[in-house]
Amino acid sequence: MNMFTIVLRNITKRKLRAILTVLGVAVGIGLMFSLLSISATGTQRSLELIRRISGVDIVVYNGTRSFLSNVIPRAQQGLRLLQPSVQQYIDMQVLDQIYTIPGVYTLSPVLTFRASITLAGNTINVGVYGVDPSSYSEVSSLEIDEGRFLSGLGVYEIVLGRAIADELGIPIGSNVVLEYGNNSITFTFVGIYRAINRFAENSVYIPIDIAQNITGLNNKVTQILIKCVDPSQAQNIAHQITTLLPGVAVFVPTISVQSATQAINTITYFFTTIGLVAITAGVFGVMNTMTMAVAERTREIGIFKAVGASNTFVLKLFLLESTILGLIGGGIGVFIGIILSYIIAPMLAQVGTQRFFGLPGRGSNQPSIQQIQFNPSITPLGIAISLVLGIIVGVIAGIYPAYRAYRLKPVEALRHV
Amino acid sequence: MSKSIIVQLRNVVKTYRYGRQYVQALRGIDLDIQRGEIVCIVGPSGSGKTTLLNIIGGLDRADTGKVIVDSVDIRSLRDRELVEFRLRKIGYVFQFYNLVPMLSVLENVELPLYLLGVKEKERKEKALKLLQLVGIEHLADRTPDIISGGEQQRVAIARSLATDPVVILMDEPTGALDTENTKKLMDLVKKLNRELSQTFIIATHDILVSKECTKIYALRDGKIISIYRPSEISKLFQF
Repeated sequence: MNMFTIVLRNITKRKLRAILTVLGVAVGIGLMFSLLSISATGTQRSLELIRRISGVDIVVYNGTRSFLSNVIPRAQQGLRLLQPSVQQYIDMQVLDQIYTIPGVYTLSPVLTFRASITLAGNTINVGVYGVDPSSYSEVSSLEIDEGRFLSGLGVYEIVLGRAIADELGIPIGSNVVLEYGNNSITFTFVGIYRAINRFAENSVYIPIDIAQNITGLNNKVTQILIKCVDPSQAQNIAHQITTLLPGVAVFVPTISVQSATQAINTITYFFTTIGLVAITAGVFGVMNTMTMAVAERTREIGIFKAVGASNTFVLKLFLLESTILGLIGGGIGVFIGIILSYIIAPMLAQVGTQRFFGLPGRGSNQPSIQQIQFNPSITPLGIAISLVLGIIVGVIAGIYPAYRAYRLKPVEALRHV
Repeated sequence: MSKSIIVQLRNVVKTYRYGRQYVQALRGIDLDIQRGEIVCIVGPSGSGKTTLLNIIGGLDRADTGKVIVDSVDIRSLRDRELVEFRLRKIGYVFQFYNLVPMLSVLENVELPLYLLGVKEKERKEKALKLLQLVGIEHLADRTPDIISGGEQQRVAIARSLATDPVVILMDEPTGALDTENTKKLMDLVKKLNRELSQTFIIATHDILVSKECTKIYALRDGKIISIYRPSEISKLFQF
């Protein structure tokens, strides 16, 4: 027998009350735990995004492109939506103008279009990126999985996405025929790139000058990818670009990430508030239980004191009881938190995704937030914080009732029926 | 104070306040109890018996007067010292046994020893010996709620003996017992008095208890009105 066994027996004697009290604490701590794991995930996510799009500080594209001005009229004309239209492009001369803006480190033009690859009667539709191999490698973090990237302009080489390469099942060094309209152009297959998922591996890279020849869009580009000397100046430079070139629009990926993070933070604050309210309710729940326990066990307190227990012993007895209730609440809260983090986290991901996609001009070569796998971060630190939070709840809730027990005079307590 | 006197009270006064009213529970009590005596305090309800025991046992404090137990003036003790005094010097037995319900019989007897900081093995051995002494060692693992009233009172006596107190205070110990159990309890009290020279102060209404005592103090309205010998018991129950 010791103080701990006395306390445990008191808790187990009134099981239902103890369970309800503990659940009151657990819900609040569960919410807080899930937020801890999600905010850690949110940070991971932002870092992941920034890492994926690193290299590109600004994307410049044709500012007149919009759903109303481009897609609908083209649909009304019966044109294929994926066929290039003049409105979507920027003249190459723009590159020289952008270069004049201070703070621009390097820029790389990209021409995108849709084409197909046919092999043994199997036709695959692919997205084609015409790039300048020398500058593109500076602004892109494209990961070459096998072989190499394009060697230079004017060379009929092609880099395939892993998904296409697997589907075609051909070795590096083979010839690949790209079909665009009535044109069939043969390229040497030199490398395979890997992307964050299979969907993003359904594209191919060819030199931009050849892409312009194939499409007949000489001196035209779809996007210009810009790297700044100081990435923190990206927004400022983007503003200068739109001032200098009124027809173009800009997209600053880091701002999008910030926007997504901001949305995640808003939801996080919301759940934090709910969590804090729930924890406060938990504190009152434990306090109520312990106050009732002191009232019910007044005579028992009198017995302890009459037998020779000090006031401090009685104080510790009740404080330990509330602390154990809080700790058990914290433990169950961790389990609730793990479950909640798998429920709340996708909600945050959804909000973050909407914010990210809601911004115009996001190039298809940039990663989608949905493509980043979501795993709540359940860390030992998070578990430890939750358990400590439970203990704090127990201690705070136990102070007043324990003090009441401490103050009880033995004679008065023994008179209690 | 004579060496053999274990409890000495001089002009002890205790007043309680109930709302705006003041009630004098003890009005100048003088008392001398010698080591090894079985003393009864008798008197009607409200005469101050329990208050007197509480003051001797350090559960309550006298307003004025001297309360000396085992050569210690307990009125001069601070709260913390009073707790230590209760633990080491006083054994308590109450009318309704007052056992801790979630502890076993053995653990209830162990409790004062645990509070005293005695090691587990040692206190278990002592608690078992005490249960043997009061004849209920076979109930050691049971909880108080499943044993009879007489057995519970024996557990309470064993608990009161745990720290080898100088005096055991019994407040209406037979109040909840039938005649047979009352006799058994008093036989036990006499046995402990004989074998351990244990001093008992018993507050009671019960004639069966009173006649087993060595000295009887009659209390009325907070005053000792007379002192009787057991042989004078017929005079005693006239009030």
